[in-house]
Amino acid sequence: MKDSAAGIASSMASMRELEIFSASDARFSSLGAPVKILASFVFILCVVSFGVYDLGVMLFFVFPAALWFVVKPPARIFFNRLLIVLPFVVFTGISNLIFDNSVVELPFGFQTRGGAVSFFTILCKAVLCVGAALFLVLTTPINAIAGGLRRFKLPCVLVLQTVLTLRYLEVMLDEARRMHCAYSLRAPNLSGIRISDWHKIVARLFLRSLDRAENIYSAMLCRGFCARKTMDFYKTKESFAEIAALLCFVFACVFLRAAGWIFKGAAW
Amino acid sequence: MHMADALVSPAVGGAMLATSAVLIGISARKVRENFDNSKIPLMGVMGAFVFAMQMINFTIPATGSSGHIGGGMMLAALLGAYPAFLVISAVLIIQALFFADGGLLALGANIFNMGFWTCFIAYPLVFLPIAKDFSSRTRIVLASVLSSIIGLQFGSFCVVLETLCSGVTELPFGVFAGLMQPIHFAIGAVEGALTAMLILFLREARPELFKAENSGRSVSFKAVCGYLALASFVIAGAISLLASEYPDGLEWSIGKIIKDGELGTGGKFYEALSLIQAKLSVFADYAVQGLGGTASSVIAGIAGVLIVALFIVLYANFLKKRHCER
Repeated sequence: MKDSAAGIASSMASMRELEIFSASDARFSSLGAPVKILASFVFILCVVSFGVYDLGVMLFFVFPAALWFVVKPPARIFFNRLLIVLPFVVFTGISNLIFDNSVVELPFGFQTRGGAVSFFTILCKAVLCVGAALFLVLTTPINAIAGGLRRFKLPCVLVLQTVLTLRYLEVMLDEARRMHCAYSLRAPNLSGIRISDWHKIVARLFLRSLDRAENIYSAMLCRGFCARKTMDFYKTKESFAEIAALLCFVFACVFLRAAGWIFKGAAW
Repeated sequence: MHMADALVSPAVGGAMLATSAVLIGISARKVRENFDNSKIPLMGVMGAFVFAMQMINFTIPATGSSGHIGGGMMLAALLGAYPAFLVISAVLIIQALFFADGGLLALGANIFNMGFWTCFIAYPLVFLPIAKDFSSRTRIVLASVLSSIIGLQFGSFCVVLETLCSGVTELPFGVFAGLMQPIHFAIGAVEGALTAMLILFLREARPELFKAENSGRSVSFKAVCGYLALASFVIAGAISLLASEYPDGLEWSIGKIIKDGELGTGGKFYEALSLIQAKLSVFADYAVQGLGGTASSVIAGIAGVLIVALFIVLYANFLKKRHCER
């Protein structure tokens, strides 16, 4: 239980790190969020469109390699996120190693088991898709993402909930920290929180967070907060240069996808 | 239960995104219609709470694996179906964007698997009828546990179907479902217990949360019809594709009894009937004539559901008119 609380705290810390990084990045943060969301989506779509035996998916590593060189994100963040996805991906991919005994021809006349190839392509896809989502949040602050989601006509109430959930997580964590401190001071000889006390603490934490959240929201309303206006404030219109950049990126993705077909055709 | 982008095909991911987008649109419209500003902080805190709970993995006894709660049932029980669906969508958007848990393309599938079954099926059809006015402790516990289990069972089964339809894994359907369903049964039971605990605590500490929203609520007849219609389309259009190709029990038994494998038929009456049937059977063998493959079975299944529904509606109208005339 203590580990879980520490895990939540470290996740929040890593999210704050992401926010600070996205605000400090000047090269890509000036690009509109809708363009980046659309670019990430096109990239993911192209990556997952490769077949299970299609090694052409490796061509798409060109993009993350180039971006890594330019953005220089902390490697720890990337590997932490990859670890979250890997268990289910590996579980599904390993089954291919066991059940798929077909023989697949590789380029230059090599032959191997289909299960091994499909396991490898699944892993490649997972790395590329995680990279795409991470690049988006590393270069776009949360408010800009909210504005981008509004640009795609997502309901205001949903975008507001997304932003508030992130902010209230901080509130909840802050309350958890205070309660943990109070508990430690009252029971200095205990190394953690007794299991029998957990349900009371979680319930109290919920109520205290709710009280604080209500106070915060009342204060926001008193200062003239209007969900629609605030969410639409970050909504931006794409410039000609942004649209041109997006079209170039889409063209590059389609070109690489087509190259993947040629690669496959040549191999077979 | 979060699906990753690497495990869905563009067709499955796109279809599930479209389905979830429609559900989000409907939910947002419903929430706007009965908008209560005071519920915004509760929705935000519930979202944060479910988010935090999903990060806590607990060990599932005797399986050697661990799991985390889905949270959809907890949200639906405290907020109602439509706000709960929006909140679980927001939680999943944050997880997909900031924590790479799930993916952008798989987002639709994840929202559907964790939100639709709990908020729109288990909550109105199982939870509310059992929990009623939240006055009985036993009813709350029973409703929470049962609805959480049912919601997660459907959700995890959808994960199996979506992964297999995407064609990325060679895992046989039986093995995959056999692994997923029991684990999610255990997770559902734990989630149900947690939901019940939270409701019981909040019922004492914040009774106004339940009085205003949930007292005296009944399940809408139109909503039930809508859910049943949707379920019929899903079964006829998608799940029917997994049907066994072997003959059914009756055909198999007759095939064993008769020697030449074909029943002896003849006579003018039989021929006339066969001719009529051949003319009428637009979807012989549950397929569209002249169109092969999966699409043929899907179209035939959906068309079958529509024809049956039309027939029942016409027959019901006829009976209603006769009843009025009397």
